[in-house]
Amino acid sequence: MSLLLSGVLFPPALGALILILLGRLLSKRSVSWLSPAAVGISFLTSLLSFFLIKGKASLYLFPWLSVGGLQVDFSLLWDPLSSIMALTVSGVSFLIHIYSVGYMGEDPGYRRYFAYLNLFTFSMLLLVLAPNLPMMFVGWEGVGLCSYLLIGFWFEKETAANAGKKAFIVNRVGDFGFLLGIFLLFTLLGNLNFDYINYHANSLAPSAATAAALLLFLGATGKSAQIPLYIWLPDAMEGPTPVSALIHAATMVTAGVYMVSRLFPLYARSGLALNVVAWVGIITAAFAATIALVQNDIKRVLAYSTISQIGYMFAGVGVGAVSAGMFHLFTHAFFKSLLFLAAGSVIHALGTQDMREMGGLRKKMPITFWVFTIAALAISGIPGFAGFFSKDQILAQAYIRSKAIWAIGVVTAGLTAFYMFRLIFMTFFGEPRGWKNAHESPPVMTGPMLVLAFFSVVSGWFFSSFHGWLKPLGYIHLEELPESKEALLMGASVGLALLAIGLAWWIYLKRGKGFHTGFIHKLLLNKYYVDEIYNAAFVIPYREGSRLISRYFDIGIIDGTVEGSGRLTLQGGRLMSFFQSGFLKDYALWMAAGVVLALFVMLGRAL
Amino acid sequence: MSSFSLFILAALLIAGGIAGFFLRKDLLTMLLSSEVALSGANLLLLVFASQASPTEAQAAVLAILTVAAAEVAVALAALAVVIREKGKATEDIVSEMKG
Repeated sequence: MSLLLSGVLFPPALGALILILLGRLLSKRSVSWLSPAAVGISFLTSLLSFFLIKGKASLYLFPWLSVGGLQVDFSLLWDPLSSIMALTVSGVSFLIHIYSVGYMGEDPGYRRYFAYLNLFTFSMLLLVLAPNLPMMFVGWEGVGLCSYLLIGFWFEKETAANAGKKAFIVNRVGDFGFLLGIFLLFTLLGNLNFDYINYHANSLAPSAATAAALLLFLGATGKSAQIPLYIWLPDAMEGPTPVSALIHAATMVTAGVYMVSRLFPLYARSGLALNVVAWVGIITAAFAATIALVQNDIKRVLAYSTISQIGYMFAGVGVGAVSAGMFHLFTHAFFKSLLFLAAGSVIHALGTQDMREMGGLRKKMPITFWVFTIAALAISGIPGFAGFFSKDQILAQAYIRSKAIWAIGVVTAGLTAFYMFRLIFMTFFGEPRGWKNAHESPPVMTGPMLVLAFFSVVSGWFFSSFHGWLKPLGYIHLEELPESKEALLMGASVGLALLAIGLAWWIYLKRGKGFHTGFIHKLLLNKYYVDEIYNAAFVIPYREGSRLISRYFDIGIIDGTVEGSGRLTLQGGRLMSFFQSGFLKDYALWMAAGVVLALFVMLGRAL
Repeated sequence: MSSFSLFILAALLIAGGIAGFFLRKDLLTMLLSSEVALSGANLLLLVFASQASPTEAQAAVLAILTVAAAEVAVALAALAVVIREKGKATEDIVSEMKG
């Protein structure tokens, strides 16, 4: 049965391999079939495994690393946590592959695009199915590489190339922490299997557990775009929109949440680490949401919204409610990728990302409009839609642990509803601003959107079975809250969300223009100047330092030594060539002088 | 002849050869001078040989004579080329090997 797992992991790898090696020989039509089919097979096998494999299964393939005391096997792990992730990843990835067939149809880099997308899906599944930290790290780096390649997919555009580099470098900082965390755990425990780490987490000293957990969490803040390493995600929107939907919304960026859930016992061993996770999460959620309030680029609003929602997930896991955090990851994958796909549909039709040039699209693009609205209702936490259930669980659990986290969470939920509906009102309502003809996208694009819209509603209805499904992991736990209290909390967040939607309606439709209240607006529009601060604090000193080293150490000392030795030889040769006059008598003279000298020395010794 | 007078003779041959080498400009004479110096050195070897270990030194002298014969053949050939190329053979006209 566990052999099924290779059918989950390897089809996308095979697809990527074929596309990379033989892509030029394949017709565009066969690429359009091959690439989605590879992921489709992956999805079907995950579905099959989901129903056929009861509880846990693992597939041992081969020993991978065996160095000294380190023993790492290449095997695949199927348990409640990885099964949920594998299903979400392969399912959403499959839909986005199909959508991409339409969206990227005209692009000259069609084959390259699908090769990367398949490679990404493989890496992500590897990350998810990894039974130990080193394998997870391989997947972790693999998705990072694909993210870099796809952000910079239109690399002839300088902003895109720079955004790719930024994402890669910022992630490098996080991965540095992640690696150190792995090393630390190895020195502490001597084994890097998740089962082993979780089982022995309680034997660790709390300070050691804190250090390891926080180092790993640094990796998570990089990959999952949390403070302080979130800055790459908004720029990552330079990539094609389906990529933003798949990698930078639904799957890769949630890898950090998955990792923390995976190693939850380690985090739980250290109260401090869990608190850091929760607080970083909730502060990021609020922080990113405020920036999203004023952005005018449709994809950037969604990017900040993603950062904010991942913050919720971390907050959920951080307050100890792993199932709530994972559930939000699950529902968010649907509605956020749908938001991106619908935004992509608009961009595809208009050729602009600036919402100030949109408006009035509701009639021209009815399907896009409706699915977008459904997704927006879901993310805003309106009852009945998926996001309501998952966000509500996180907030309720946060309330028990820390009222402050809950309060920030509720306010953020209000902000979320506001900026989502601001986006809808600016894009789909009102009068057209600057566009002539728009058209609805082809079925190959609307199809996946409709499927995602369906899941954006229903995926939230199954929290108790989701929770029950994860229960066998052993560390899944929810606090009980009195029913009346829960209803009150729910009422507060829903009421605030509705109020925010009303406010957005009043400001952007009724009044017809936004507030431009000077200082705060400017601060938010410029994203709190964080990029500028990082630039001044890290980038410029680093660059200037490098320049100094280049000038003085590299050119002065390294080059000086190398060129100096060459110069020494040259000068030495020139000096010695004095003897090489070319005249026979000179040579004879030197020889005679040499003989006389030798005689002198020898006779001197003898006497 | 006593070995002392043979020493003197050898010394004279060597000194005369070296002096000839340095004082004459004509390549052929220089070659001859160097041969004279070489003969002096050979003679010296033989004198030592008669006093100490005879066989090794005599073998060395025979080897030197053979090499000298071969060397003279090469040197004369080179000299012939120089004369053909330059018209005359004095030491100051060949300096192509200047470094």
